Amino acid sequence: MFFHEFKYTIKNILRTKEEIFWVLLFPLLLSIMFHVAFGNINNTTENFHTIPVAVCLEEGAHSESFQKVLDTLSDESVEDTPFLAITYTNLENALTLLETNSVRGIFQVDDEISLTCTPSTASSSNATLAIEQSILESFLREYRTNAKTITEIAMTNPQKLPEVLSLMEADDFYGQKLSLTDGNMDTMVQYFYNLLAMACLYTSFAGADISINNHANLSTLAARKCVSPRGKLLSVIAHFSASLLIQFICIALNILFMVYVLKVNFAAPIPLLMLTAFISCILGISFGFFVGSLGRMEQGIKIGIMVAFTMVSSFLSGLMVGNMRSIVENICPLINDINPAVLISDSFLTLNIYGVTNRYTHNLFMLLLFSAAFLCIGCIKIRRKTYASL
Amino acid sequence: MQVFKAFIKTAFKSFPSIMLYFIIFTSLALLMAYAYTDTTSSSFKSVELQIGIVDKDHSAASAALSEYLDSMHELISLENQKEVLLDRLFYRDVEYILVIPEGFEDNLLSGKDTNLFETVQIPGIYSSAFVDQQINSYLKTVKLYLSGGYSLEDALSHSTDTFLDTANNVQIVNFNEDTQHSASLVGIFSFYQFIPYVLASMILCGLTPILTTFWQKDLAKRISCSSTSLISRNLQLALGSVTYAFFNWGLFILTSRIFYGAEVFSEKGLLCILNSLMLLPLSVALSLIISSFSPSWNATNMINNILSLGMSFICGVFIPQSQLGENVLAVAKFLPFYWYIKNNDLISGSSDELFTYTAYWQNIGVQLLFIGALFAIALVASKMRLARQEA
Repeated sequence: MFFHEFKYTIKNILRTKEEIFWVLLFPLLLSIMFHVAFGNINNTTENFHTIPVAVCLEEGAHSESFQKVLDTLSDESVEDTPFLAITYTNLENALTLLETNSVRGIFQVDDEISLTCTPSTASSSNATLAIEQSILESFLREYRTNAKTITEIAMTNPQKLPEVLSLMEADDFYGQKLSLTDGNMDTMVQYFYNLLAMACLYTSFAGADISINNHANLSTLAARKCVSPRGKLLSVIAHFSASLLIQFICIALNILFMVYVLKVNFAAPIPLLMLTAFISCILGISFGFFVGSLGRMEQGIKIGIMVAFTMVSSFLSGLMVGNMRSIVENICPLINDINPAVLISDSFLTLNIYGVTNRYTHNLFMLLLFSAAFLCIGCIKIRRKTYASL
Repeated sequence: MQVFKAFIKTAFKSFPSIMLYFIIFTSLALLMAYAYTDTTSSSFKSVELQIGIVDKDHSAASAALSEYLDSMHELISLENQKEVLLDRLFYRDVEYILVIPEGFEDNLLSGKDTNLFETVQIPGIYSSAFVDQQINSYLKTVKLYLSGGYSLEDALSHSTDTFLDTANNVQIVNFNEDTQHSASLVGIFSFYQFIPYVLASMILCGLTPILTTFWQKDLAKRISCSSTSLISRNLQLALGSVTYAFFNWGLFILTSRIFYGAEVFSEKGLLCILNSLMLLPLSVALSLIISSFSPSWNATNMINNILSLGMSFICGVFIPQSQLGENVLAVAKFLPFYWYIKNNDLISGSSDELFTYTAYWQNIGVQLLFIGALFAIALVASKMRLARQEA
C-alpha cells in the first residue's frame, strides 16, 4: 500500500509542472542570472588592478628621487600586478588622458609634487575610481612624509642619517597576513546560498499538497482517499517521502549545476552540501504540510502564504540585498536565529568557512526542530476527522 | 465600445494583484535608488573604510597606530574570535582587520622588521592594498624616527604630526560640469534605471491574461458573429491595451513626481521619461506574442519571470552595465533593455560616452527597431493562432 501511494505521488508531482518549475527551473535560471551578473563584478569593483597614472616630470628638487620610487613601483619584473602603470608625458597630454579616464590621476613633479584628479562621482562607469584616487593620495602622502622625516632627522641627528636612509630604502612589509580559513571569502557566493535556501523553502508547495490531498474537505482526491479503508498515517508518510525524494532531487540537481557548470566555489564537500539541502527540504515540505492543514482556505491563499513567507524569509537573509543579514543582526538578532532561510544559508556559509563545527550542527538541529514542530501541528490538524453522512 | 468596456472590466479583475506588484516593486526600486544616491563632491575626499581592530598590546604605540587609522577610517573594535572576525569580513561589515599582537611596542623598539602586526584580509582587493599601505607607511615613519635617535614618545608624536602635515591638497579638475547633479536628479536616474523590470512585469502579468481571455476560442467566435466589425473589435482591443499600458506608465511618472519633485520635468527628467515611453510598446508587443499561445495563468507567471528577470539581469538593470562582463554585454546588445539602459546611462552621465542628442536619438531608434520587429513577430504569432483555431 505504501509503495502504491508512493508511486502515484511521484507521478502526480512530476506532472504538476508548476512545482517542478519553481523548485528546479526557476532557481536554475536565477543561478545563471546571478552567475552572469556577478561573474565580473568583483573583478571590476573589488579586485586590485594596476593603477594607471600620468607623470609630468620637470626639473626640480624632487624629480629624481620621486622618479626612482615610481620606477620601483611600476616594475613589472618584481610583481605580477605592479602598483602603478606610468605614462610620462606633458601636462596637456596628461589632461586629455585624465579626461578620457585612461589614467586615474596626474603627478606633477617639480619643486613640489601635486596630484590632480577628476571628481570621484558615484558614477557607475568607474566603480573603483574613488579608492584608486585615495591610494594615489596615500602614496604621495607617504612619499612626502618620508622626505619630511629625513629632513628633520638630518637637522637634529645628522650622524644617524646613513642608518635612517638604508632603513627607508628597504622595501619591507611589516605585517603578517593571517589566513584563518581556506574557504571562499567572496561575498557573491552568499547569493547562491540564499538562492538554494529559497528553492528549499519553495518545496513547501509540494508539502501543502500532502495535507490538501489527505483532507477530505479540501479536495475531491482526498475525499476519495478517505473512504478507502487504510490509515491516514501511512498515506501521509508515503506522500511525504515521495515529495521529499523528488524535491530533493531537484535541489540536488541545482547544486550540481552550480558546482560543475557555473563553477561556484562552495568550498565544501558535495555530500555535506547535499545533507544540508536534504534537511532543508524536510523543513520546506513540513512547513508546506503545516500551511496546507490550516483550515479551509482556498488553495490560492495558501500558496500566497507560502510565497510571501519564502520571499520575506529570503529577503531578510540577503537574497536581494547582500548585507541584509548583518543589518538584521544589528537591529534584532533574534530574527536571524529563527529565520529558516538564514539557518539554511548560514549552514552553507559555515561549511565554506569553518567546516563542520558546532554552529553547523546547531543550524541543522534547529531546522529539524522546526520541521518536527510543523509536522506535529499538521498531523494533529488532519487526524481523526469524521464527516457527517448527508 | 462593447469590447473596450469588457476589456476594462477584465482588467479590473487582476487589479489587486497588479497593485501588489506595483507596491512591492516600486518600494524596491525606491530603496535601490536611495541606496545609489551619492552626490558628487567637488573637493577631494579620501575613501573611508570600516576597519576592524583587535588590540592585544594596549600600549602607547598601539594606541598611536589606532588613533592614526581612526583619523582616516572608521575603527570598529572586535573580539578576538575567529567566527566574529571572519563573519564580519565575509559580509564586508569590515573590509580589513588589524590585529596588534602582544609585544608590538617592544618589537617596534627592538627594530624588528617582520610580523610587527597581523592582518586578516581579503587577498587581492583594493581596500586590503590601501590599508596595508597606510599602516606600513606609518610604522615605517615611526621606525625612521626611532632609528634617528628619537625616543618612542617623540617618534610617535612626530609621526602623527608629519602625517597630518603632509595631507595633500589634491587638485580636482572637472571636465564635464554636466555630471554635477542634484540629489533628486540622481534619484530620478536610478529610479528610471530600475523601472524596466517593474513596468515590463506589470504589463506582461496584467495584459497577457486579458488578451488570452479574448483569444479564447468560443469567446472569439461569439464576438466575431456579432455586428461589431473585425476592424472595430481589433481597434478597441488595441485601445484597451494602450490605455492599460499608459495607466501603468502614468503610475510610475506620478510616483517619481511625488518622490523626486518637479525636477522630474526638467530637461534631463523628460529625456528619461521619453526613454521609458519606449518600454510600453515593447511590453505590449511581448504580451501579444505570449498571449497568442494561450498560456495558463501559471505559465504566464513563469514566462514573465523568465523574460523580465532575465533581460534585467543581462542588460544592466540590476547591475550597472560597466560592471558586467564583455561577453554578457555582447549578448545583451540583442535585447531591447540594453539600449534603454544605455540611454539612461547616457543621460545620467554615468557612461563613458558624453551626452549628445544624436546618441540619444540613436538609442531611441534602436529601441523602435526592436519594437517594430516584435510587432511583426506578434502579427505572425496571431496569424498562427488563428490558423490553429480554425483547424
